Amino acid sequence: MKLDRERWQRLDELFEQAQELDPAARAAWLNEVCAGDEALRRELESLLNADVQAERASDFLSEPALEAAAKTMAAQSAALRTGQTLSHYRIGALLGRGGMGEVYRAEDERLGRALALKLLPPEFTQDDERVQRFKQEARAASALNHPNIITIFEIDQIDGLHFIATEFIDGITLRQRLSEARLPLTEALDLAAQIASALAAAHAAGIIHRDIKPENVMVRPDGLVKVLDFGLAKLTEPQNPQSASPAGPNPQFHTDPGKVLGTPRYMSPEQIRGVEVDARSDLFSFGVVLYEMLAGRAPFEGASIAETIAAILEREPLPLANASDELQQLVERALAKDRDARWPSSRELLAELKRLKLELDFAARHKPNTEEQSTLPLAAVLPPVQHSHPAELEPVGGAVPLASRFYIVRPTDEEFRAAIARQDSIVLLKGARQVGKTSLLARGLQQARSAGAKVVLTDLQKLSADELVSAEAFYLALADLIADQLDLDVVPEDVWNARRGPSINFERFIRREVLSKISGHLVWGLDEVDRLFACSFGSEVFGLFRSWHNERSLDPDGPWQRLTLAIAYATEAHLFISDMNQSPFNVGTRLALEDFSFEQVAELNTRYGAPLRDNAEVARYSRLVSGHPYLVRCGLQEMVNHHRTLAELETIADHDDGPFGDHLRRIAASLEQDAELSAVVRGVLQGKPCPSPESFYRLRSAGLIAGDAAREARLRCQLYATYLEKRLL
Amino acid sequence: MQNDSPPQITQLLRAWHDGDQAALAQLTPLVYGELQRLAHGYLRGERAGHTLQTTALINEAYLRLFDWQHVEWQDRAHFIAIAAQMMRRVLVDFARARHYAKRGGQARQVEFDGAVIAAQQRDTELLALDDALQLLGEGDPRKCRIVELRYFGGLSVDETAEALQLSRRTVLREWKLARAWLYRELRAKD
Repeated sequence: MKLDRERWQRLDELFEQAQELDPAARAAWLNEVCAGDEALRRELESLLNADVQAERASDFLSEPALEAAAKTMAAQSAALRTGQTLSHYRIGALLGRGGMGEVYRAEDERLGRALALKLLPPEFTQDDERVQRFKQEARAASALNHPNIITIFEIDQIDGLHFIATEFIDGITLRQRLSEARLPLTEALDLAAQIASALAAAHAAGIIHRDIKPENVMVRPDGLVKVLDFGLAKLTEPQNPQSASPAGPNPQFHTDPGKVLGTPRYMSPEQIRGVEVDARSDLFSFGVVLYEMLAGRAPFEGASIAETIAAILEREPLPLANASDELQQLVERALAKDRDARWPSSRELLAELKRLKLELDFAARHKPNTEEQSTLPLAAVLPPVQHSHPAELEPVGGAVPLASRFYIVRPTDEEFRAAIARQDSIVLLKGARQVGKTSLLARGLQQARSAGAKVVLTDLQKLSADELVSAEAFYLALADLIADQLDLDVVPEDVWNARRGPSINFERFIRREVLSKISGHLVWGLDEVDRLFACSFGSEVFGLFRSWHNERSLDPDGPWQRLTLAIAYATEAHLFISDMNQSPFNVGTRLALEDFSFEQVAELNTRYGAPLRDNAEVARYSRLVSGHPYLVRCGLQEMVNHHRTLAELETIADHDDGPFGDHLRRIAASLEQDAELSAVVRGVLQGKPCPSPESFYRLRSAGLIAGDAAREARLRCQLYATYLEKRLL
Repeated sequence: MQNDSPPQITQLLRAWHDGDQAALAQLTPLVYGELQRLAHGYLRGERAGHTLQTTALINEAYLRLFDWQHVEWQDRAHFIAIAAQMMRRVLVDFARARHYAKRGGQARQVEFDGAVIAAQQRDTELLALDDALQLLGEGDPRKCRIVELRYFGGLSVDETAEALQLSRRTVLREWKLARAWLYRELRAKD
């Protein structure tokens, strides 16, 4: 019913007055103010009643609409249950859930073959015309019968539920592959060539993918790539009034101008601008994927969608650190903002990619020790390091306080938080010294705590030497810390049984005394885990963690479901683990923390009130301290506290009593205790490569040098170089 | 530096506000993406037998969508209002789409559990809320705006007060009546 304004205003006033009244006095008051107007009285009374009920109802406007909508989606998205049949398909496990629906494993009961069934979200299938366009494109791509394009069996709808039945691919997505470990160059090029090959075939047939991203690329264990979801982007495209004319004879070649945002990170500038896209848009997205495969991170990233979009439109990605000039050019040309400057076609891009791959294969055959170096299991040839642990090179930096406004959020933050929110079994944070691992760990734990989980943090740096002499001592020390932090009513020694091995005792302790005594999820943060690498029993400990991870996947109701291990350690941990099969470092979610990017230094500068006056100064400062998070902060703080300009800071930067003095002296002191490493650093300063991979990795873990291989080692930043030149040369 | 960069979402919102429907089509998947992310979190939580504390996640989602900090102060109130309207429009569209998808297929073999039924009711109620809000807005635009900002825009009372240049007390008072009225329109038995 329509609101009568005057009457509504009166109601408004009376409603407010009623709030002031004692409920008992209301009836009399109603009689008085509504005297002679029975309708007003009823209206007011019913609103007052509704107010009480609305207040009591826990589900009426009590949470933001976004939250309610997300719950709705969660409840409805698990639309199918295992064992159920849909038409002649028997539904199996839910394989994944993405922006464009859910994918189930299924079996075709008539043909007895395995397949994957993708349900399309109703949000995007209400428009028949749109669904038709998607079908045409998807079928056309599938009909190409290309080895790198997924085969579609059927696209249909049953009871308003739209689905696509495709071949079942026993593999992982490129996204998963990328999160496991950095791809070796040869593998990256091989996968890229296969994706480009799929695109070349589709483009030749006039089909544009529109949504190339690692999630849409499957990799089989034998290395074969399958590109998924051709045409699916059609479903999310905006309708354009100009093109609403009846479909022509070749509707699949007809493309609407205007394009929707999917994952902005992989979108071309023209997609973002909403102009009509052609095949060259796929080449840009492909360039983003290739860059990510080579660099280990996406070329355009921002803390928010808006920032990512701005980066795609305006910023040039940083050059690839480890790519040849030719490869760099190939990627740059794919990522050109102006599509006329891009590769003219996927065929030409593919040809160049293949040529580079051949050259690389050739070079690898003739120089066997260079390309694969970084992926060889070096542990086999390295003695365990007992002395001069990299940790000794670390000055006291300390975590950035939780509430600090100087904390810079990096893309890894979001990934770490997501892993904690997902309650992954093992989350690994690796990075050089002082790159911010502890700060990030603290934030992840804080998040878990506020989500209601129990949280424990053990900093292995705090353990005494005595506690690291044996597995027994170590586990007992951990158990004590855990019992203490969780305030558990147990003395670990009392439940230890001498007849059992230390790992068994500790596992029983965690299972029986911790997990079964607390309710809910436990997030256990382990900081400075590199301390364990030098211990003889390190492998045993890691083996135990790994076994929990494995048991968790085997037994969905087991105790380990309720445990998340968040492990922080310095970069090259795996070098010191003798048996990789025992290592937890090749399972779980692995995140590598990196130095601040130029943008992040610029952002921190802003938060400090911009002591660096322009981008040129930010760039100069970034060269001085690279993106070393500790040094970056330290110098900015100095400028602010002592009102120094950058030029003034530069003159005192390498002084022993300057702002970086403590940090630099400590590095020099640690180096001087180790003649061998000193010699290596001296060599690097003189432009020589590291003599051995071992020294290279140790120095890199310590955050002293940078580079991707021993032969291209360099000092991490200009400041280190200038200072150490004075001290060592 | 980066806070000089024009945030794209602001432009899209502005374009939509100026009547460009294609802009809405570009905003829609962004909201959908955040919903997916949140929904995913709920499912994970449910499976592990927990109810996640979601306030922080919701706030993060709103922040990712609407980067208030990057909007000039003078513009902010206007921007927030459009953002909340956009959110209303998109979420209602989603609910409508699901609603019709459901009605299209009468004889689903799928057994729904309680959560699904509750979810369907939420969709239906959101459509009704949208209609009722339309009515409220015709008679009392300010109350409608308050509901939009708080419910669809995810703003706190204080933020709503700031955006509308009202006192906290006024926002609370108007919200209370608006909510009571909407409740009666949507749910009251008599």
